[in-house]
Parts: sequence; structure tokens; C-alpha cells
Amino acid sequence: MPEWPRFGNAPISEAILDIRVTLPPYVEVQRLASFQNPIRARYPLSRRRTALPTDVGLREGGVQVVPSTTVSDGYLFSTEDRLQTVQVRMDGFTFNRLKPYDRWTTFRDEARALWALYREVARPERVTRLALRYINRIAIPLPITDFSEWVRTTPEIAPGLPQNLQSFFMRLEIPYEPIGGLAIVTETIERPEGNRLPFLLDINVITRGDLSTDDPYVWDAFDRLRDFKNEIFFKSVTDRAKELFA
Amino acid sequence: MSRYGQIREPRTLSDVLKDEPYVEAGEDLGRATELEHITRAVERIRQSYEKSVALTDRRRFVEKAFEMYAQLWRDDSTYASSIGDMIQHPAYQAIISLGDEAVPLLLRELERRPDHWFAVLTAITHENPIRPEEEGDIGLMSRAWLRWAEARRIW
Repeated sequence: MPEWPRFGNAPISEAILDIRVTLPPYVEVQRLASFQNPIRARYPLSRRRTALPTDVGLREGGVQVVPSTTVSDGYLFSTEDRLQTVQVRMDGFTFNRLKPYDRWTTFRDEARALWALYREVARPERVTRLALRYINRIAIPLPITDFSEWVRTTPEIAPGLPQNLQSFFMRLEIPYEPIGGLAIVTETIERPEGNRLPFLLDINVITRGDLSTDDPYVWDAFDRLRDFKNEIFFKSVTDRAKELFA
Repeated sequence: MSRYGQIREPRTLSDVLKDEPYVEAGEDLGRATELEHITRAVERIRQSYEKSVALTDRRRFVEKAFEMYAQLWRDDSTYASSIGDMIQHPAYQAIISLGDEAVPLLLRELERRPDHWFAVLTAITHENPIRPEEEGDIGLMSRAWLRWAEARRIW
């Protein structure tokens, strides 16, 4: 496994480890509530995963609120500080970590322990998809003369056109044969905050398959997805940007 | 930068809609057109919210829905004859139904431009930190809620 540099001020605003599954037909969403019992001390906050509860629109000539009919598909359990959340759903399991992010092994090992618990409660039959997503929020000092001083993959405006950029949203899908995976890389900018421009580098690496739930390949695959994700991150930012994370 | 995030200038409905990447919003949207845009935009937001497993995305979708409802309520409540009418507005009721996730957004609103968000906060949190002598003064009522939030470390 390659060694990756570790930053004291990593720009990761959220790390997400996601496993999609097929559950046996006898499992109902209420059963997933018991997932919290053994972890209640560490994950005391609980919420049902629901749709946005209402819709507003024109109905019979006036503005009306229409209650949503979508039912819950699972639960979210969070730590007291809300920095870690585990989602247990009918279609899978997700572990979320918000900033500050410590390191891969800490993140993966917590996810792995929670996944073992999910297997006990939900009895998934098959794993169908693995994904690792890191949302990086890089605060670039203003003024910016050229994005390429900070990021290596940038939108390019045709020569001869005005080169000023007020906003952009760029999405790349990059297949990667060695692990049978796909990276979805999204770049965009948010409104400036003081003299900084938040630049979002969102890297989502995915692999699909039909795996047994106790297959050691699941965690080997996550290690490989993480390497692929890091490859993308470290090759996407410049040394000047890396100085911001030291 | 305020404690609750970046202070932004008040935004028009057209501004809110322009941020929704799949909605075409003109400078001079007619009222009915605005509502149609909102209906479509909220539906898209709802679908994305349901699909997403990233907390960042879900928070952003709630914020977007909140901004749309809030702007709709502001537009319609400008000439409302009573506070009762204002809080019965469907958009106000929609914000109540957003639940806990709307609380930090409401507090941010109270900080940057105090308004009658007190009933929705009470409806969601089941609390009312406003003292009797503060009733009727929007500034004091807002500060009471901000103190309440600070004591509970809600941001």
C-alpha cells in the first residue's frame, strides 16, 4: 500500500464510506432501529431518515403545502458532537465523518466495526456497490489570477474569450480498470468568505459487484479505492495548495 | 463572518432560484412563474435529498428548500394584516415541517435580519425563551433566541 502524506489541516469537510446491499425480504425498516442499542453510549443521537417533509406549489390556484408521502428508509445515529454519523438503511450502510478528519485507518476501522454490527442486525445477503467519497473544501486566498496555481484540473475558456470566471460546476467521470472502479470528480466554487474563495473538490470513487458480505475483498477494495481517491487528490492540487493544509 | 456563517445581503427569489443549477430564472419572473419554478425546484431538491447519503449534501438541500420557503413567505407576508396570517402562510408551515435541521438556518436569519420566526422555532423546539417584557420587540425577541442557542451551543 503506498504511503500518503498526512496534513495537519486536511481540507476534508466530509468523508463518506458507503456500502450498498440486498437485504432478505423478511427484514423491515423497524428492525434497523435496534442497531443503536450496543452503540448508544457513543452514538446517542437518533433520527429517522425521511424525505423532505413537504412540497409547496400551486394547487387550485393558490399556494399550498402538500405533505410528503415518502416513508422512512432507515435511521441516522450520531455522536454527541455530530461529527460522526452512521446511517443504516434498507439499501445499505454509510459511515460519515465531518471535519476534522484524523486518518484513514481510524476512519476505516470505525466503519468496519459498525458494518459488522449492521450485518448482525440487517443480515444483508449481498454487497452490490462500494463507494468512498471525500468532499474537500479548499479556502483559496483571494485574489486569484489563475486557478491552475492551485488546482491542476480546471475549466478552460477558449482563447480570445474573456478569461474572467464568476462561477463554474465541473463533473468528470473517470473509469479506472485496475480496480474496476469509477471516479466521479466534481469541482465547483462557493461564494467568497472574506478574502478566501472556497473551492470544492469532491472525489467519489465507486466499484460495483456482487460480493458476499463477509468477503475480505470488501475491505481490501476500500483500501484500493482509497489509494485511487488519494491518487486523484494529490495529482489534482498543486504544491502551493498543499501548503494551505500543513 | 458571523457566528452563524457568512452574512449575506438579502436575496430576492430570483437570486435563490439562480443558485438552483437546473432552474432557469429570469430577472423578472412573474408570480405564477416563480411558484412553478419553486415547485419544480423543490421537487428536484427533494429527490436529491432522498438519494444522497452525504450529510453535506442533505444540509445543503434543506438550506435550499428553506431559502425558497423563506423568500416566498417574506414576499407574501409584507402586507399581511396580522402575525396570525403570517404564521398560517403555507411556506411558514412548510418551514416548521423541515424540523430540527431548520433551526440553525432560522437562527442565522434572526441574526442577520430579525423577523417573525419565533413561532416556527417554538413549534420545532417546543421551547420559548422570550421573557414577557421582551414580547413585541422583534430585536429583543431575536436576541432571546440567540442567547438560547448560544447556551445550547447550537450554531
